[in-house]
Amino acid sequence: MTISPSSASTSSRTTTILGWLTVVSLALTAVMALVISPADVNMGDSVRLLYLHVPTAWLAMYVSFGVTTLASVLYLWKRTRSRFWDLTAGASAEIGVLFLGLTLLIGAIWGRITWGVWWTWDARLTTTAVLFVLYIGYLAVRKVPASPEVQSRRAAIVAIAAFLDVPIVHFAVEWWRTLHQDATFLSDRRLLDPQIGGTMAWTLFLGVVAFTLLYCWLMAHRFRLAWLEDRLADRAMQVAIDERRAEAVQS
Amino acid sequence: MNDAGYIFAGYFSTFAILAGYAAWVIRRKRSLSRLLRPEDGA
Amino acid sequence: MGPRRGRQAMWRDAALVAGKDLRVEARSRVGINQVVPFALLVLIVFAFALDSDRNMLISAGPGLFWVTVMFSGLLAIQRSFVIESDDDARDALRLSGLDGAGIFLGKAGAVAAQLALLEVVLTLGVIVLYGVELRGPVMLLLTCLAATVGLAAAGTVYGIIAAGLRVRDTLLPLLVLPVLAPVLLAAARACEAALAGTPADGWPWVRLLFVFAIIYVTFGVVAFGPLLEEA
Repeated sequence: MTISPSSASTSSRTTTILGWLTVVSLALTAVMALVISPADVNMGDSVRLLYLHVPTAWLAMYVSFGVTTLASVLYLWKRTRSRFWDLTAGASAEIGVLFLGLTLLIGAIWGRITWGVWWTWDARLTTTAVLFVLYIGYLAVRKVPASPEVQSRRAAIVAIAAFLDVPIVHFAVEWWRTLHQDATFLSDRRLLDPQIGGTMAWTLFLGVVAFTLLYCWLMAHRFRLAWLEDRLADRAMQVAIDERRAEAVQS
Repeated sequence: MNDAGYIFAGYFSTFAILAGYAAWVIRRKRSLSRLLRPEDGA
Repeated sequence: MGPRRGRQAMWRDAALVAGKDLRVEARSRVGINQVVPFALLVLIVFAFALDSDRNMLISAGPGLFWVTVMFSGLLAIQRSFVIESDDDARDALRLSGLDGAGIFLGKAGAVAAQLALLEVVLTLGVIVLYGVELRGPVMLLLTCLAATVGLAAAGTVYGIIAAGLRVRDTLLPLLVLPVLAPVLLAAARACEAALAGTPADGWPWVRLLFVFAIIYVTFGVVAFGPLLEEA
């Protein structure tokens, strides 16, 4: 991603093209998922929700939070420390929380159709919910006012502490459920089974591509917004300092 | 299609939330860059 | 300063800070007069909420025990940093030249000691109020040890992040509770297994608790210095 600090224009040609590609691919995904692809033998029509559910989950957990963790590490490492990584971490986490929220929402609807309940203490659901609140906490920390360096360092440390928790939550929840009941729920992996394959696999693949494009596009804009907010805060500070200085000169 | 109500509600709310978020980011970005522009000269 | 002397200094500083925190707590009597009664009160309130059906209380006992420990632990962590936000004592601590890792170990150690005391009281409470019979003492002890260290370490890391902020009272639970969720889960399951006399089910959980404790103690030792500088 290139940033051009001197320009305050809202979008470049690249992001515009990316934006249109995103819209087209999302629309195609919806058409494929709702009209063209067949109903699943076991799941019936509820499988159509998984074409949204799986991509959002995948992008939130692996891509968004992965980028947040990586950017936080790069921020803390002295040789690569820069505001760029801090803002990247924040933007990515926000999009990740949004996507994970959607994952939970669609998952709940799918659960309502399949199991008859909105929520169940299935291992994956529980892990996802814990992850969701972990990163909401991270975003809350980012919102607490402090001097820029303090805020960035604090946020980076919270991001890494949250990331360390992810495997532990995963194992804890996994054992909890398997010790108590059989996890006989359907696995998403079945979709990628070549025997099922065909249209369904392609639809899922298209969904992942569409949401990856969406992630990139949102990142470009969200990062830019964070950068502008940052500049504006600096500017306000500079104005305040200049005013104090002017007062001092007058008196 | 069985459960069409649930499925359409899922798709509709997902796209609505995504569009709402994108609109919020872009509008806020525009208004902030307008604030910054006079002094940046860009 | 060689690594050996550095480590010695770290443990000496840890003992100093832990001693200081525990002395402050002992003299203020807030722990004895407020936190312990609060914890017992929570046990009683749970009994009200769940109906006083003995079987249900026995089966819910381990979970309630750890929920209570977790909430009381939050109070202990908040207190541990409040005593330093008064009179700018944190600046004094920062300027004292004490080792950052040592301060972390000391503060976490003091919190862990208070939690351990609380767990003894709560265990008595669970025995008396809920009629739980203790079985599998080795597993119970190891569970308490690992969970307490993990709770104190993770809580202290987040405590310093939230310390000195206007929003600390609300921010700390939001940050800590999700992180501690696996500890709560694992500790409750391990205790259940111990009490049910099926220790084979409990050992994976005890191991998980130790892993958690090791990860967050290490993380705190590394990260606490930089965090203290800015709090």
